Amino acid sequence: MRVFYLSSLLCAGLLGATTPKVQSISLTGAQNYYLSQELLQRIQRLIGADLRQPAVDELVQEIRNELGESSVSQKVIPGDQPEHVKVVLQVVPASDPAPEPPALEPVDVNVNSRYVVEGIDIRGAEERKLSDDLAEEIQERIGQRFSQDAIDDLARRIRKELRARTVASKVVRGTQPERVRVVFEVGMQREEETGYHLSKFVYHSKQAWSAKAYGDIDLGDNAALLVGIASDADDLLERYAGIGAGFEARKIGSDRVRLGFLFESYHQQWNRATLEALDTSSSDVPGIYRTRKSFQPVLTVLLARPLKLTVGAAFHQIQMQYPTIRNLAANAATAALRYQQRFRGAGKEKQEVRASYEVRAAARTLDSDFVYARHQWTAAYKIGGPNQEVVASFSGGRLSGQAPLFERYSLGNSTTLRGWNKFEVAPLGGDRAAHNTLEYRHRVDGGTQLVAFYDVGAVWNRGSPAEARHAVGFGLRTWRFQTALAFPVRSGRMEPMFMAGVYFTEGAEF
Amino acid sequence: MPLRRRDLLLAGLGAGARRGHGAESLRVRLSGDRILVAAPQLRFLLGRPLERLHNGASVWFDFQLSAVAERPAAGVTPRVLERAVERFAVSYDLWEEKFSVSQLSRTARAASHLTSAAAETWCLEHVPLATGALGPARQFWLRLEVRAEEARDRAPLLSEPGINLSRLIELFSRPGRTGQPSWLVEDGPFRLADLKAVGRPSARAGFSPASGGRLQSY
Repeated sequence: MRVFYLSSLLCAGLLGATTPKVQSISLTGAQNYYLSQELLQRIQRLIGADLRQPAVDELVQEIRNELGESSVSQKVIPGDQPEHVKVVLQVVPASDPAPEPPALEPVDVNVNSRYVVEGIDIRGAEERKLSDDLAEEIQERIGQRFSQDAIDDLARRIRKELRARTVASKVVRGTQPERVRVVFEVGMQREEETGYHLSKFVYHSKQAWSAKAYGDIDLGDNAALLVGIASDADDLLERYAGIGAGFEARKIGSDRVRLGFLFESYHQQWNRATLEALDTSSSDVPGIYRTRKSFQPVLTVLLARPLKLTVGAAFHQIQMQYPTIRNLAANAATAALRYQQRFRGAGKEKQEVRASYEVRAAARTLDSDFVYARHQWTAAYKIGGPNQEVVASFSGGRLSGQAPLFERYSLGNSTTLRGWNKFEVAPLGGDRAAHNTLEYRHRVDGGTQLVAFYDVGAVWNRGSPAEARHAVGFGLRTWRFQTALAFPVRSGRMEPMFMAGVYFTEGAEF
Repeated sequence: MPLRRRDLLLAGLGAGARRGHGAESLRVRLSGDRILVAAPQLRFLLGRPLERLHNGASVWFDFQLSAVAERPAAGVTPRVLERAVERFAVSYDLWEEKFSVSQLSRTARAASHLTSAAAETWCLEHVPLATGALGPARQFWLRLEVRAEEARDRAPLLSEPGINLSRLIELFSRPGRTGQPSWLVEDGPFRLADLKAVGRPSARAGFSPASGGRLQSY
């Protein structure tokens, strides 16, 4: 009603183009002495000033507060002088049979809602894992007034999308007055918290089942204990089976620094092709081993949001099987640099780039029986929209010196050169490798994508010619589950490979 | 208050309830046909609710002031003669480092620029208890319950315009959740005839200067 009065005056042209001044403020239905001296002075100050609706509203509210159960209506009427108005405030005691004041609509009652959101930070999880829609909505909140409801809603959606255990919002002062920053502190589920992305469950028609199940036990105070079991024939030239345990401190002085170590103890099984190749090979490839134990301390530093540095060591003890059973050490210093960045294009288009370089250097100074340097490069690019994506990825490796079999490159498993059997490609692996994948994904239903891919790769030894192999295939992909039927491109008999699995490994969601 | 025996009674409210102790009691005044209380020793802007406020969130506090016919005792559900329930949203101004309170009922009231003690006082000042069922000579006890609410309890109460008082009463009829911050102060016996009456408007008399803050609309 009060808006009506003021609007009416404006529409009627009574006030002209200028803001009218308050000629008087009258209070009816109550005695002035019920009001505090401070409030009376405020009323006096409004007289003669420009009429501002917020000021009148505030005054009404203050009068209502001071008069307890009373309600106060307001009227603005033309004054006796040009460009002046009179404000009439009518106090209605609650005991009067006056109509009940209207119910309050749910409002944002947080006093900080008058401040502007200067920025929004997400801690404890990587922002790039959010959907584009949610990421855009978060960005859109910046520059707007703080809204508790909106922030609560964003927190709920972040938790849902990241499958986080908790998402707590925190509002802090901004860098400038009247501005605030919102911080979402994400408590991730355990497989996301750990820096060790190891778990997977895969079936491959040539390699049979591979399973790795690692979980962590939250010790509180940003620390976790990691335990797991594995029987994996997919990663390496060997099938390794055993247990692992580790510890991770997720905050060393800063959220940007993590320290962890992993101990693993595995028994090996070897493919007949590998054994036969060793018998006939004249190369300096070391022989097979029965057990492999490793201890790997790792320090991870988030240098900048897209750039992560990992340094550490890998102490391996392997029990060689031939010519006599003996233990050898393969101790290496390790380092890795990883870059991940997501870009948004026009409309719904998004792009993502990932790149990494990893080196492991084993030397006598580390009391290693093997001396080698292993380099690996990866790069991947993804572009797409809500329904289609194209992914191109490259990986390459170079190994110098003499390294045990688990360090040698192999292609032809559930993620590389799909369609080929790695023991057919290179039963002893190689010290050089290059691999390319081109993948097209089309969303068919909800989060399910139909995938068509082309893989090309070669693994070879220094001084030998590289033979490129090609494979094509198709499959389905949803969340972390992937299934594919892949065909090697070659003359003669083509035996397709079927593979299906759930991956929690690094990069599986790319 | 010659006949008023200030006798703090303790009763279990549920897990997490902070019970009053000997120093806590209610100051009771009569304002027209309403009873107003103050609890100078009651501090509820502390602990986890205070931490959330300092993190910029608004925290909702539910108040129930009830007049019961019998002295509250463990294991006995007292007969409620009158009851008042209110919900307040408290927030903390990150820049001015002052508290703001909004009453979430059909009566729109808010106050800002309050100290924590003033914010607590302001809430209590705005939980008037009707005296309709209390005869002048009838003895009654007062029971003040305060609960801090989590965000998940908000939606059902705000699914309709204004606040659902029935839902709020129902909420108080259940024990608080484990770990839910809650407070309980019981005092009595009282008689209306013994209460000091203050002139209308009641809220101003005796209480408002304590807030030391600025009132505002929203």
